[in-house]
Amino acid sequence: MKPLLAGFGRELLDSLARVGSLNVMFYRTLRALFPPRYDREELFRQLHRIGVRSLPIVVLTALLVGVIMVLQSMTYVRKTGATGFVGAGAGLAVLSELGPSLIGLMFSGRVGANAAAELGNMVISEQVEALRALAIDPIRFLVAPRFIAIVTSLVLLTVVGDLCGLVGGAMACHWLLDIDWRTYLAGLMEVDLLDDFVVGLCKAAAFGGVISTVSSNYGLTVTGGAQGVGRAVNGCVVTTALGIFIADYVITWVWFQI
Amino acid sequence: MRGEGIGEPVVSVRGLVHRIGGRPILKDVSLDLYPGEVVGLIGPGGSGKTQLIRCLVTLTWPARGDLKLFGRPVGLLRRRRLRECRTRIGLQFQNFALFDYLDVWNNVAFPLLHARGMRPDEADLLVRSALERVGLSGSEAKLPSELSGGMRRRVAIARVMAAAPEIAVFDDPVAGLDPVNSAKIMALLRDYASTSGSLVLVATHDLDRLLPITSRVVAVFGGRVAYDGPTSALMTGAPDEVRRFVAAALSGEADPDLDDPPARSGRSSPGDAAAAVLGKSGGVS
Repeated sequence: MKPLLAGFGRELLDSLARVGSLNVMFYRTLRALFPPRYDREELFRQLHRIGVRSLPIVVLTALLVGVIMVLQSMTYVRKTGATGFVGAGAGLAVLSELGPSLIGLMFSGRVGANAAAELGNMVISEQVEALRALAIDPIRFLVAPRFIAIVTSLVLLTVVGDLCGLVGGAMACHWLLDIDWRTYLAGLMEVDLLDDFVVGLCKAAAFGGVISTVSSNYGLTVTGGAQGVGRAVNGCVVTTALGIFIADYVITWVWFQI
Repeated sequence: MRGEGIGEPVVSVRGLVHRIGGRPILKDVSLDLYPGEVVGLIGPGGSGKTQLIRCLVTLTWPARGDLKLFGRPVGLLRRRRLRECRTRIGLQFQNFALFDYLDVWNNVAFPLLHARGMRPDEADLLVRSALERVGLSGSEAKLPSELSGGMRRRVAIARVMAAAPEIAVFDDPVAGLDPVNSAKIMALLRDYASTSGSLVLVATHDLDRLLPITSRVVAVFGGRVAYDGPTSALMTGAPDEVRRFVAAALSGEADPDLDDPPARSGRSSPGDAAAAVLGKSGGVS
């Protein structure tokens, strides 16, 4: 019993230490953003790597989300004949919830894990120490450009993803449910989706902040060589997913309060 | 020990104690290092050389002791002043620490562009000249992954030299280099010190090549400074353990008391080898 409790206590303390360290990383990143003196070349490199290269996977994910949402509603639509609600249902789900969340999770797997591994590798090969030795703040040089690139890319990719999700829904309606795409579009127009679109973008920005902070924190605190990098990537993926769900819950809750 | 350099010490350490995980790595280290000196930092593996270097360049904060850089106590410096101090120091890391995603030119130019704020066209001449000195002209566009270990080491050395720091620290600069390039690099460090007036601190196990270019040797054994004096007096004034280490290193024979014997150099008699190498030494200051 005692070792079990000790193990639990150790895990709890480690988790609390990690939460504290994530908060410090977030604070230091925000501080490094102002005044904007980060390396522009590094920023453009990250924007291209993170944003442009994630486009295909985001488009595919969003199209499938739209299709799946329509397929999920198929049984009820056929039973009730409420074909006019398909567009509204798919639009609400894609814009406010599933679009940002699934794109965020996909993005965290691709970009967050990559950033943690890259930074971890820089730590174990002393590249981060070399920056410090050259009087260059690693947070300002490495983390701040990634933060901007991840948040900007995720917001823009969510806009693209929303559009693709809705197109995917229309395609599924047309080819799988035999519902005219104009009926789908009319259903979409019937409800005011602007609010859901905006809340979806707020979520995307928050998820971007979570992905950047968690991946940078895990990457820059790597210890123990290549094994340590593996552990950091693993921890980063799990913590980012958890962070995305927590941020999703908080934003949704706040949204319903106002 | 007062070095042969001129002026006030650029590095001054008193009673430095450093621990890792509670284990003492450096014990009561005191040193003064002067501009224009070429100082050899020697000692068996795990004796604390790299940790001493890390403390001197402010990458690690010691548990106790006073460190002054350029006459200023580092512990009292504000962040901005500390950054200024660091821009005046160059460190060649034991594991190169080259930026994977940058080509050779950008790696060498990195301190000039990002720490000194130079424009690329201003840095170009310095970068090309440093690369030429280490024999890597024409490799500007290559990535570190396309270079051999020895070439990467020379890029790391060029990165330090291009920035012309007032304190240049080289941690194992010739490990893995062939004899011709080792000799060239050591000669380069000696010339660099004599022309720039900078302090050059070199840590290596290759005493055969180190001793002829140094004016002074600091031997670290078990985290303590066992010898700090002129290179010429190493075999007469140093304690027995240092003399045995140096003799074994120069002859290529493993000293049974040392846990990390230096590389063999092919010499036969420890005493003869030491005399031959120390006969060549004289320093540059």
